[in-house]
Amino acid sequence: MIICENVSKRFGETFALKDVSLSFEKSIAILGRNGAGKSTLAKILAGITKPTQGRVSVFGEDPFKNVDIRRKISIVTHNPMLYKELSVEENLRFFAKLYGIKDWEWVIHELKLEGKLNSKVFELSRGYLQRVAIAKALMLKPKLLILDEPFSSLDVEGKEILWAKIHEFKHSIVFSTHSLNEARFCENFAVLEKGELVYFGRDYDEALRALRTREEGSKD
Amino acid sequence: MKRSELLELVKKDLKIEIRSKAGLNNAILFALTTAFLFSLSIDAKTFFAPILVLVTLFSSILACSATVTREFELETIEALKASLSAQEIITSKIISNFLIVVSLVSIIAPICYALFNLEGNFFLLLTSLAIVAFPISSAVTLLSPISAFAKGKEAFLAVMLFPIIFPLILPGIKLLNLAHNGVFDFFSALFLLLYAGVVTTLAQLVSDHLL
Repeated sequence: MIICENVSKRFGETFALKDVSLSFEKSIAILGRNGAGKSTLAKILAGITKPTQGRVSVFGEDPFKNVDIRRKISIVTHNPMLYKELSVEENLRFFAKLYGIKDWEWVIHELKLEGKLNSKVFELSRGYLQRVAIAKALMLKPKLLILDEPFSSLDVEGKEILWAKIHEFKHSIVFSTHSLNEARFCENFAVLEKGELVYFGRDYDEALRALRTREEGSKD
Repeated sequence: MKRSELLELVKKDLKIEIRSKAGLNNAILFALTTAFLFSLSIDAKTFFAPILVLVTLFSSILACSATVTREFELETIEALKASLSAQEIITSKIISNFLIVVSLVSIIAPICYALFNLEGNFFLLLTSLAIVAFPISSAVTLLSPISAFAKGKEAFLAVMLFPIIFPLILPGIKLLNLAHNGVFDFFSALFLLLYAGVVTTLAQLVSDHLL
């Protein structure tokens, strides 16, 4: 079970998240426009950003305080979080060793990275960077997978691979996106607007309505 | 933290430093230019110890700050934080930076030895410089995260470092002067190592707020 209780995050005077409460077991789609607070919430759930207020519990523990819980969580953001001076293989090997994972090479074939193993990260296109980031997240065999706009720079082949992986994934998943259509597979929906939770529930249509209302409101 | 994880982190930092050469190249260039200018302008044989301490200090800032600031720029610090505690990350950075500074002084020391026409015990001098390097690398690691987002990071870091480094300057100079004469100044060395221990402990205590 993953629980957020009255979570707020402030950067200086600006609230990135304001009093967000939600809970889910299997999957949740975090929806909202740019700057809604999706990435901040994703990083808080991953335990790499500390909330200013509120309580977060992932499998019964605070991920910010407990490294063992953090090691069960993988996050993919728009920034691949890779070392540009190292090759793809060196990056993957480094993170595998850091997590004590011996069997990690399968992700190379699954993500079709065979041809890029010796390429330095700074030589890769954005699409391949995203693939490596996804490979890094999957090889850790997480119990909670957090995907923050994972399709943003993937090509058609990359998208197909990731969709297959998402459908195969048997544990909890957080899927952050600004497109509700991509998030249809989720059991729960949370719509954020300027850091505030404007909808949380299981109803896809309600989530769609909440998202569209906000989008139309912003156009007016 | 397992020793193998610590080793991986240090290996990774050194590999990146060797490949990018960003910090080390600048540091070596700065150190050699400064040493060369001093060797021409003053009686460097008499003043070699303060020159070496200052050259080590400022070139260490150039060489070491990159290992920490790079993690912030690439946001890889978040990937590290996902699997390690802040204390573990800081410890690995202190070790990496110490090894980088030791490599740096191993390059600078023989050149300065030749430039300044020194005739004393070279290996004792090198060992003493490595002891001076330990508290410097700990202090640079402690303050690098604070300066990571500042404009002119190195200048900002040097200003912030000064009050922390200040107590090290005199024992460092004394240690090098005596080492050159073939005497190992045990008390200055002990002071520098204890100081490094205090700065390392402080870095670990505040690491959650730094990273």
